[in-house]
Order: sequence, then C-alpha cells, then structure tokens
Amino acid sequence: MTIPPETTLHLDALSVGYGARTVIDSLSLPPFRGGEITALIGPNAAGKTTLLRALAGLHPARGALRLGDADLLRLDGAAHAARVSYMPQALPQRVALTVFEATLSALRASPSARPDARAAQALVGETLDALGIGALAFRSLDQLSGGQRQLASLAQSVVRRPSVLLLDEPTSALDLNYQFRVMHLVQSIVRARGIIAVVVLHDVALACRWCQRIVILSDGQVVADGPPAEAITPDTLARVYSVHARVEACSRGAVQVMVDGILADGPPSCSGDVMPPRSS
Amino acid sequence: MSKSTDTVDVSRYQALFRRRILIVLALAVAAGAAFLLDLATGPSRLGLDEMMRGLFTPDSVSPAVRVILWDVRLPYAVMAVLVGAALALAGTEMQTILNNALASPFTLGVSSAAAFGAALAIVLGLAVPGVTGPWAVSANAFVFAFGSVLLLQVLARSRGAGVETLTLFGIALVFTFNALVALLQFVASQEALQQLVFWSMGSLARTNWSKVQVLALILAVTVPFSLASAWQMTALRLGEDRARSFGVRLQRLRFLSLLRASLLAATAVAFVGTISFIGLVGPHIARLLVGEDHRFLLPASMVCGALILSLASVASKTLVPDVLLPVGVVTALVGIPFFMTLIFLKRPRA
Ligand SMILES: Nc1ncnc2c1ncn2[C@@H]1O[C@H](COP(=O)(O)OP(=O)(O)O)[C@@H](O)[C@H]1O
Ligand SMILES: [Mg+2]
Repeated sequence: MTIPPETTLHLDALSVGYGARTVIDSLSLPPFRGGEITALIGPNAAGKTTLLRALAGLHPARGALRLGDADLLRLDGAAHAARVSYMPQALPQRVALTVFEATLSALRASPSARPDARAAQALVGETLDALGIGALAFRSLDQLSGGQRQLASLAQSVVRRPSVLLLDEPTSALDLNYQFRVMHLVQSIVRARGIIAVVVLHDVALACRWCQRIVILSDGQVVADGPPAEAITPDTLARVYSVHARVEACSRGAVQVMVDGILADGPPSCSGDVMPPRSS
Repeated sequence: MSKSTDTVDVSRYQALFRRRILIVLALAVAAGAAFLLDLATGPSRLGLDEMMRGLFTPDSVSPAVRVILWDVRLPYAVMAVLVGAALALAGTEMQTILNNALASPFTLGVSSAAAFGAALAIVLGLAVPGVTGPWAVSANAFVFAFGSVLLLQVLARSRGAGVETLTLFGIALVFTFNALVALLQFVASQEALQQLVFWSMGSLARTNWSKVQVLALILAVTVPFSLASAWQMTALRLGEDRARSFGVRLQRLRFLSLLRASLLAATAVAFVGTISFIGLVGPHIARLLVGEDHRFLLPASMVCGALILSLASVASKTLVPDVLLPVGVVTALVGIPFFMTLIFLKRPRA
C-alpha cells in the first residue's frame, strides 16, 4: 500500500492503560510524517511497548489516533493491520517453520487484500534478500540465534508493505553489521515508499545516527521531542536516565553521547551529586 | 552470524511444498494399508481376500462372513480411522490455540466431563431427556463434554482471559470431574462400577454404523473450516501479537477452533471412550514430519491419528489371542515406539 507523502499519523490526548492503571496519560504529539524515522527511547518500563501496541491497534486506547483521514481507533483489526505493521519485542520460541514460511504467513494469513501465492512467494524472496538473510530462508526458526530470529521477525513486518512501520527494539540482539543493515533497510523503505516509521531503540547513538526525530518517553510522559540535537542533551539524559552525560558532535557532525557517571538517586538535573566517572 | 548475501531461490520453496505434499500422501497410503490390515484381522481368522469379496461381490461369500464384515470388521475399522483423525486434528488445534505443546483434546477436561456424564447414566440412570437405550450413555457423555468446554469459553471470554487462564480453568475442571466420578464410583454397585471402568477404557467395540455416520458428519463439517484457518493458525505460532498484527482475528479464531476441537473430542469420547495418546502424539509426529505450516500439519495429523489408531486396533485383536483388548489400552503401546524412533531420528546431527 502506498500513501501520499503528506499523510501523517496524528496522536492526540491518547491514553493507554491496563485495567485501572493508566500507563500513557493523555499523550499528544506533533504528527508523525511520512518519510521520517522517529526513535522512541526511554528507560525500561517507560511505556514504549504499551504506546507502540496501542498505535498498532493491539491494545485499546482512548483519545484520538488518525492516519490521514482514517480514524485508527475505529478501524477493525484487519483494516488496521493493512495500514500499520508492528514488530513485537518478544520473539517466538520453538517454532518449526522456516524463515520463508513464516514470512509467507505474514502475507497469507491476512484477511485483507492478499497477493496470490506466486506473487507472495516472490515478495518474500525479495524481502529476505533485502535484509541480507537469503541464506537463512530455508532454515527452521527454532534453529536460529536470537539475532537471526529478530531479522526473521523484521522480515515479517516489512513484507506486508505497511503505511506505518512500528518496530519494538528491532536491533537489541544484533551485531554491529546487522544493526547497520536493519537501520539502513528501514531508512531506504521509509524514503522510497514515504512511510512512517516509529522505532523503539535503547541505543541513543543509533537513534541519533538514523532518526530524524527522537521522542523520549519516561513514565508515560514525553520528556523531549525533536531532532536528535535538540532532544538529546545532558539535561534530558540526566532527567530520564539519571546519568551524567556529555553530548558532543563527532567530526562528521553526528551527535555522540558519552556517559560519565550515574546521578545519585536525588532529583535528576542537579549536577552536584554526581558519582565519579570511572577513570579510563 | 551468517553474512551471506545469497539470493533466495523461490523454486526451493516450491520443492519444499511438493515434498510436504508427498509426505502427507505417503502417510495416507500407510494409513490405507493399516486400515486394510485392520479389516483383515480378527478372531474369526477371515483374511483380506474374503473381506474384499464380501465388500465388492457380497453374493460370493456366506451370510456369516457378510455379518462379520458389515457388522463388525468394517464399522470398527472405519471408526478407528475416524476417531484417530478426529482426535489428532483436535489435538493439533488445541496445541496451536493454547500455545502448549502438551495440550491434547482432553486438556480442557473434555474426557473427564464425558466420564462424569457417562457415570451419571450408568450409576444413577440419569439421562438426557428423550434419549434412551444404548444412546443414553453416549448422549450424556457428549452433553457434559461439550457443555463443559462451552462453559470454559464463556468464562474465559467474559473475563477477557488469555490462554494460560483458560488452560488453568480446564485443569480445574479435570480435577472437579475426576472427583465427581470417584464419588459416583464410590456409591456405585459392583456391576455399574465394572461397566464404568470398561467405558472409560476406550474401545471400538461400541461402534455401530449410526455412530460412524455421526462422527463422519462432524468431521465433514469441521475439517473444511479447520483447513480454511490453516494460515491463521500458522501465523499464531509466531505469537499472538504477531498474528494480530497480520490482521488475524484472534478471539474468533480461538473460539471457533476450540469449538471444533471440543466437538470432535466430545463426539469421539462419547462413542468410544477415552483414547488419550493419539491427540497428544499424533500432532507431534506430524509436526516432526511436515513442520508447522498448518496447510500440511492439519491433514498430516489427521492421517497420523488414523494410522496409529488402525495399527492399535490391529494390536488390540492380536496381542492376546482370541481376546479383544480395549484399544485405548494398547494405543500408547503401539504409538510410543514409533514416536520415539522419530524423535531420535530427528535429533540434530550436531
Ligand atoms: N500486561 C500488563 N499488565 C499490567 N501492566 C503492564 C503490562 N504490560 C506492561 N505493564 C506496565 O506498563 C508499564 C510500561 O511497560 P512497557 O510499555 O512494556 O515498557 P517499556 O516497553 O518502555 O519497557 C510498566 O510499568 C509495566 O509494568
Ligand atoms: Mg518494551
């Protein structure tokens, strides 16, 4: 599915929770734009997965969530899935399916306009090639390493050609080579198809390198939102991660983060009580 | 990690596809052979040629042979195939839907509930209104088996519970019904007790053509829906969120799948009693042979189930000369060696 480049994902007063417990409380953000990768970063339990699952229509939410003219909160699961593709953080265990079969099921299990068998197979082949995992196509998922399974999972999301690509920690188990490959692939499809990508990352450097926008989430609240150089500052890092960090531009201008120490529990942003950096 | 950039050869997938079809066909041929063997085995020592003649040229054999063929051998052999297929299919669906490799058609209490229903009829003479005679026990067993799973589903749905909760509820039901059956056994007469114990050991000797027809009908109704959900079930193996993110309607899939599995298991257990091994191991054998693309796994499971139960039926007639053992007792004895062999053959060659 291709979408006009001006299509945006609007998120207004979105609230998400579990039972009586609200995790994301009335969150509003400037729209996500096509052709851009947004990194969603923040400490553990910040609500990143919860937010992403709500955007994917897998968890009920209140408020407003619109993709172009479509009200995503009112779409049924199949219609939602036709527009938005979500790659879960958790990977399946002990599944006797080959990577090719698993990726094929991403297309064939879908109730909405699915390609015929031959077209689907060709699409799966292309996708696995693009991810550089063609050699794994006929290996069984239960015989792959964690990183390989993560790539297989990414293939299942990408092959669906969504308008919005939501990836929950897609690089957490990958080596440097594949981190680059994955982010490069995401960048090229985002640019080529003008789609919207929201990617949960823990690696701030990776976020700064590949994403045009960074949203920092902490306790369900947005702490910072903007281009890497604006969002990633010693102050925001101190507030969110309680670390004492330097943010410097590298020789090529990319934002680099160096953590020098951990702030003792006190209220973040007070720079007095810094644990001494380890001498190197 | 492999850094290879080989391009994917889609024709390899097509080869894999054909190989899986061939495996299912080979299993079907084996099941057909086992069916014929089952037909040719029995205390009357009539062989396959007589059975074939009785089948295709009934006038060429004596009336006694005709009776043995049409009233005993054929309905039992067909029932073995149907029950085996039904239980293995139900087992595969349960394992996928409950995301539990140890699930079987009886995991959610189907067979315990059936035993309780049967016990009510046998011990207390309580029956479903309007049903009498030989059908009373079966009808009771079915109503309790199917009813208990429906109750579970309604409970799980109303609380929005996940599969773990559903499985736990099911296990609670198993213990409840087992306790109730024990209670009935405690107050039962000697004769009723014997009847009840015999009932709960699965046996094909309760088969008649009407029961064969009912089970065949239920299979004919459920199998197409099962196969139509094959891709959704395959996707579900990748995780609930994953399947839902493909657009799979999980609640509906789960509800309908459990409904099918319960219907199949409840009918089978109502007609032939508890045959426990097939619904657990049939799916695993099929999985080892064709993987988890459910377009192959579901039919392969059914054929494996039919194969195992036909062989078990042969064994039940031949292990002890001139005695028909309850087939539920010998099923595991026949299936285990086969299963173990496969597991050892499939171990990684590392
Ligand atoms: N199924 C659940 N039920 C109740 N609370 C949950 C559930 N899943 C997550 N939470 C809570 O929601 C908060 C956010 O979790 P999550 O979105 O998974 O965080 P993140 O992905 O940022 O690490 C955490 O406090 C977590 O305990
Ligand atoms: Mg998370």
